[in-house]
Parts: sequence; C-alpha cells; structure tokens
Amino acid sequence: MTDTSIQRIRELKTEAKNRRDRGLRGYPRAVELLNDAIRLGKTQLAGSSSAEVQAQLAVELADCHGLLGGVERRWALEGPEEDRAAHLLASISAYDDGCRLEDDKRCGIVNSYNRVNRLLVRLLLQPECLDLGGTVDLGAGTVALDVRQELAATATALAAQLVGPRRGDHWAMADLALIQVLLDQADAVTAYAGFNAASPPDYVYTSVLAGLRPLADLRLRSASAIQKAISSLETRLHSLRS
Amino acid sequence: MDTYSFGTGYFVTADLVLTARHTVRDQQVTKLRVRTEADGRWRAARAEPIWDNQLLDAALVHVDDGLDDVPDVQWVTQPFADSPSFQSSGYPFAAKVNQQGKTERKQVGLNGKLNHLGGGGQGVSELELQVEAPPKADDWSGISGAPVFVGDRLAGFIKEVPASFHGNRLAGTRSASLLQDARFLVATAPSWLEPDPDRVLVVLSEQGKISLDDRVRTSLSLPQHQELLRSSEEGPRIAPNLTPVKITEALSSPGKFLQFVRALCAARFAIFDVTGTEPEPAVMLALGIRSVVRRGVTITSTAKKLAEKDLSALPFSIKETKLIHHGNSGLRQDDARHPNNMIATAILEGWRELRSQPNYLDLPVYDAVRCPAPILSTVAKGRKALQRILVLCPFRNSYEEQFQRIADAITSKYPGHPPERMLDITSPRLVGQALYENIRWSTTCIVDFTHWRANVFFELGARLACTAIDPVCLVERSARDQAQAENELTQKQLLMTLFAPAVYDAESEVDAVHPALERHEAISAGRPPPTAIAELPPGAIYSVCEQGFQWRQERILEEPHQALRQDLEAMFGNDPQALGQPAVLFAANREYRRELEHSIRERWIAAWYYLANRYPRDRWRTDEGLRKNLKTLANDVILHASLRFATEPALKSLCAQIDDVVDELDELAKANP
Repeated sequence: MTDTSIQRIRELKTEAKNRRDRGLRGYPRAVELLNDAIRLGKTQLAGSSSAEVQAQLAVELADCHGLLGGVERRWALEGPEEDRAAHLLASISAYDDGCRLEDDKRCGIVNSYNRVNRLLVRLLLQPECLDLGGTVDLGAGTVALDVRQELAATATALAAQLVGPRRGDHWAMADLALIQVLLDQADAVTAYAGFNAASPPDYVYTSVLAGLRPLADLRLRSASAIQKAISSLETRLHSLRS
Repeated sequence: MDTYSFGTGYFVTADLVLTARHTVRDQQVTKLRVRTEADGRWRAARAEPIWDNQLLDAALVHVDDGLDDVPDVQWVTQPFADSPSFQSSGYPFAAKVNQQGKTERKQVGLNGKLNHLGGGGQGVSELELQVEAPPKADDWSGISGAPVFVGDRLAGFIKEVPASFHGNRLAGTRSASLLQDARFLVATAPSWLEPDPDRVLVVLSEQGKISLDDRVRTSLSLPQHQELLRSSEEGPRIAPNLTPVKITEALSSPGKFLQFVRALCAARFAIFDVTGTEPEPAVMLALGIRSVVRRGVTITSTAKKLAEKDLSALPFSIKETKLIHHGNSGLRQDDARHPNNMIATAILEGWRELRSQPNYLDLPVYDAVRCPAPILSTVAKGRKALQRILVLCPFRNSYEEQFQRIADAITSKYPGHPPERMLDITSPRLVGQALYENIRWSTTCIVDFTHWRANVFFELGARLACTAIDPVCLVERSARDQAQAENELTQKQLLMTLFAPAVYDAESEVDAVHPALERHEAISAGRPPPTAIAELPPGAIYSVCEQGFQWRQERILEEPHQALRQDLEAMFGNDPQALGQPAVLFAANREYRRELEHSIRERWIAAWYYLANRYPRDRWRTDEGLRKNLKTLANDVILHASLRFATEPALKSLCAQIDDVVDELDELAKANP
C-alpha cells in the first residue's frame, strides 16, 4: 500500500465511518477524524500544481464534507433535542462546502451527494420551505437558497448524469428517485424502479433508508409517498437478505 | 588475540584479485589486505568477496585502491592436447624466513608440468600440476590462489595440495571453468551498464533512424509531464534520466550482454524499439528476457506508423502488447497522440495500473512461466512436459520440409520422442499460455535461427531467462552465410558469435544436430564442454536473471493479510463504497451476490485473524508499524466485511472485539507517541 496523502485521507474516512456506525458515542471522534482528513486534503490541494492530483484530492475532499454532513445530521436526529438545530446547521454547512467542490468545473466531479443532501437537511430544519418555495436563509454561514427550485434543478442535472457519465450509478438513481417523490413527480414504486432494477448492495439500501426515514416524520405534502418508498425499500432489502 | 592467514592471488582487473575461495571465506575474515609484489604496498580490500563459487573454490576480492593499469588477461579456454610447462609464484609457508626476529614470507617461483591427462574423473574438471623441487605437503600452506600461467596465458590457479602425493602434485581450478560462470563474467567485464531501477532503459534498434531515446527524453522532460512523473503523490517519481542501450553494443561481448540482462531485470521502466512488422531479432530477444524477469512497465514502440494490414502481420508476441508510435506523426504538439505526449502518458498510466493491479502485465510470459510443470494430455502414455522436445522455429511453407528433416534427425537420436512445435501440440489452451509454459518446462528446447524470425527470438529470450538449461541453437548454413553479407544486420553476426548455433546443411541435418544434442546432454549432466571466450557460457543468462530479478515483487512473498487485501482491492478498489456501480460482473445475480458478499467478508476476516494473532501482544506496544497496519486493517474489516450490522452472534462478537482492539491501539499510540 502506498503511503500517500490520498491513501491517508481514505484511511481517515474509513475510520470515521466505523466511528459513525458506533452511534451517538462515536460521532465526536468521527467528526474529528473527518476534520483531520479535510485539513490534510486542503493542505495537499493548496500545495499541488498538478490538475490531475488536484482533481483526485477534490473528489476525496467533497466526499469528506459529505460524510461530515451525514454524521452531523445523525447526531442532530439521535442526540439531545437542544443540540438538534446546531448539528443540522453544521450538517448544512458541511454539505454546502462539499457542494461548492462538486459545482467547481475545474474539479471535474460528477456527483450529487452534497448537492442533494444539503437540500434534504434544510428540510429537516425547515420542512415548510419545500411546499412554500422561495429563498430561505437559515443563517450561521449557510447558503441562502430556494429549496424547491434547487431540488427541481438537481433532478434535471441528475437525469442528465444518468444518461451520461453516471449511467447505472445506484447512488444517482436513489437521489433522483427521492427528489421525484419529494416533488410529487412520480409515485414511490415508479421512482425507485430503476434503482431496484440495478440491484445495489445492502449498504446502499441501508444508506438510502437512513436518508428517507427522518423525512417521513416531517409535515410535508409528500410524507405519505415517502412512507411508501420506505416500506417498499425495506421489503426489498428484507428479501435480499433472506 | 587476532589470527591471520596468507593466500596468494592475481589481479584479473585493476581492482579484482582472483584467489582460492577458502583463503577468504572459510576463515571468517574480518579484515583483508592485499600486498602488491611490484611495489610492496599493502592495500585495503573488502572482507566479503564480490563473487565466489564454492564448487570451483574461487573468489574475487575487491581491492579499494586498485592498480592503475592492468593488461587484459589472456585466458586459456580450451583443453591442452599435451602437457605443457607452467609457471607460477606464491607465498607458501615453506618460504618463511626469519629476519632479525621478524617472520617474513618470501615470494617463491614455481615451475612444473601441467598434466593434460589429469584432473578429470568425477566432479569438476581440475588442473593437475606436477611441481619441480616441491616442499612437503604441509609447507605448501599459503600457495592457494597462486596463478598458473602457460606461456603468457592464465590457465587457472592453485587451490589444493592433495595429501596423498606428498607435496609434489597440486590441484588447480581451470580458467575455462571460471569463464563458464556468468557472474564471474559480469564481475570481471569492464563496467559498461550498471543496473538502475530509476532510470528509464531505452533499447535502441540497430536500424532505428528516428532516435527513440531523444523522443523519450523530450517527452519526459516536458513540464506538464515532469510534474506528474516526479510527483511523490500520484507519480512514479522519475526524472527524465535515461539509459539508452544500442542493441548491437549490448551484443558485442558476453560481459556486456550479461550486464544488459542485469539492467533488464532492474529497470522499472523499459522502452523497446520494435519498429516494423518484423522487428529486429536481438531487440526481440531482449524483450523476451524482460518479459520473464520483470513485472514492470515495458513499452514497445515503432517509428513507422502501422496501417491496419501491418498490424495483422505483427509477430504474435508484439500483437499482445500496446504498441505506441515514436515516429514523425504530423500531429500538433498538444495532440494527446503526439509521441511527445504518448510516451510519458504510457509510462504514467502503466505505473498507476502496475501499482493498483497486482497482476498487471504489459508483456505476455511473466505469469505463464511461473506455473508449475503441466501434465500433458499425453499423460496416458506416461509422458510429461518435462520429456517434451520443443522446437521454436519459423512457420512458413518454405521451411516445412526443413523442419521435417530436423525432426527426423532428432528422432533418430531420441527414438520415441518426436520433437513438437506449438502447432503440433493438441492442447486447446490459449496458445500463448501453453507456449510459454512449455518453453519453461520442456527439458530440451531447440531453436532455429534460420529466417531470423522475431517471434522465434522473443521465445528464445524467454527460454534463456527462465531455464538453466539453454536451448540447442541451430542455423541453416545459407542463412548463416547470408548473415555475413555487408547489407545484413550486424546483430545477426553478433548473435551467432554469442550463441554459437550449430550450423546445418540442408539435407544432412544429422551431421550438425546430433553433436549439438550431445553437447546439450553434457551441459544438462553438469559437464559443460569448454566455451569460446566470445561465446556466452551455458546457463549464463538464467544465472544473471536469478541473481538480478526483483524478487521483492513476487506475490508469494506478500504477507497473507496483504495478499488477501490486494486480491480484494484489485477487484473493488480501496474505496468500494464510493463506487456507484457493482465492480463485479453479474453481481446483480442474487444467488451469486450472496455468495460473493460471503466470500468478501470471509477474506477480510481471515486477514484480520492472521494479523491480529500472528505476533505476541507485547509487540503491539513496541512496533509502531504493526500498530498502524492493525488499525488500518481493523477499520477495513469492520466496514468492508459489514460486521457492524451483521446479525450472526459470532460476527457481532468479532466486531466488538475489533472495536476494542481499535480503542486499545489508540491508547497505545497515545502512550507511545
């Protein structure tokens, strides 16, 4: 194994995922590890003049920001109620950082991980912004944006990615399906048909369900469709495991 | 108290002294000095010989401050027809004198007769020397290593005083035997090409009109390529330093060729000029050797842009490679297909794939010759590959009759063992795999130089590199004569000098084939006949490859947990969850996927059980590297074996144990910063 900084970033990510998966007691360490990885990535990025190396580091950095956003989101949902808003804001902030890298054409990243999740976490903090529309500024350094409009734009971008560089990518299919359900563009079964047909591994189902479940508890017009999506995916996962 | 011993030796190069091995090896020497008789100076020498051969009782000692000028040694390479006189000198115990209370050894001149009928029998052939006015046997001590000259030619050195002859006969090691040792040849040849893994080895053809080394240098020097190539992060860390080798120079002597073989073994990156649809035979020979010895980045390049019809005419072994083009392309400098970009890109891509794919290959042969001996379909008749006589020869209609006559000549020597070409072998296996496996395992391999086919020379290179028993080389007389014509490639002549193929005449092949097979039998039986000074000794290339191949690369040496990890990473990469698509073909098949996931999990668990239990717990405290490996593996196992969410009690328990280990390792790291 080559001891490069990219390798080190991946090791830190792996350890952070394991700490995260230990639950509430693992979140603080997971956040530390991801911040270490981000610091290392940023330092390397600043010191590299090779476009190729920069692109690889940007991919890793975007992934680290996304993982950090995910840990903060879980912490918000599982931790004490009084810390919920702060963790959700930290989560949005991390996803916003990751999204900036995903949107930077120089980095050449073709992904939607941060872009989708920064919108979903905003819904967890202010569910009404989906149905009301309009630009919302949540403060704390987060980006002011119109969640509904951004979801629609993301769906368009995802559809284009899926017929291009992300053809057959189960993460992209799951993101698109979720947005279609949220925006009432398709029923749950139709939206996730392509995703199911791709037969992704168990951990992808687990991850997708972890993103959907908190949305089902929100006061959204699409709440029942989300619930249907959860039931359908749980059934599918169960049948895969049996 | 320090003890010391004496021996005698002879400078065979400016800084190498040839002596008897037992004078420097058997004595547990910690300090060695050499006194030169001409000026009486004591010179420091390395205590460890730079070459030695126990069977011949011979060693080469390196003297740090060597002589300024040493004439080339004229070696005796052939047996004597009669018993000539010899001369020698040395420092035996018998020549000890007492000078004012101080013991000194005087040089003693020796004369005698070299008995040409003696020294044979069992074991290695030796020199038998009868000495005039000998002392008694015990007083010869110190004479070992003394050179034996017949006229001005070095016939060998004295190694032993057989006790039963009471001191009047000495035994010596023959020069001819020394010259059969490839490592001796490499050590004593003038230094021409040092192995250097970090320089790009560029093998230049004889006829190359567009200089491949200039192209490579230009490509590697361009700033945009240097940035990546020098990068410690994602590049191979190479500077635009090249070692260009003109193939004809490499062939110009056995010593040079063996140094070239050593460089082929060492270079991480090598580029070969294989211009044309029938590349030069010597370049193909070198490529064949390279394909056996190095899992590195090897690039084949042609100066002539090949049309589609040319591609189908390429030699079989080149067709399998990704041929690049270094000629004049007419493309813009910024075009990715321009040679200035293609060469650096090919090196970079090759290096990345080599790093990430444990089974990376850019040449055929490497894996095929690392297989165990095959049991052939003819096993029912009790025959194995080991008994096969494999013929590497041209395939063309005009050669067919010639082959049949050679085959008849071989069969008349070995009844019941018909020689086989690849097209005679009935196995349905992929031709390449079966061919190279047979090249390694066939006891007897016959190579016909006639027609100078590129494929034949590639296969010859492979055979020479992977088997200690060289092939029997043949060439048809008219092909031999034609090769001496002025307009022919010089390398053909050089190849014939180095490999000395037996010359046969059309329609009387037996006359040449039988003696060649008898010579081969003698070599196989460990009784190699003398070799001309300009010829490569038997097994020389194999011997250099055996010493110089990069054994650290061999997968069998990987620790079990690393081997398991590499297998998994070769398939899934080292961040499998980031993949949006299944890495494994047909992974959506539900039954297959269940077993696949089970298999992945079990491999990770096996890796963990190995490393976590291999070393005593105390070592975790002291060995930082082990702690790091354990922690990285622990995290990978939990994540990639999906232990965290496993429902099986034993796996849940394992996950908890690994968590505890991670915590313990963190504590140890804090306590041992």
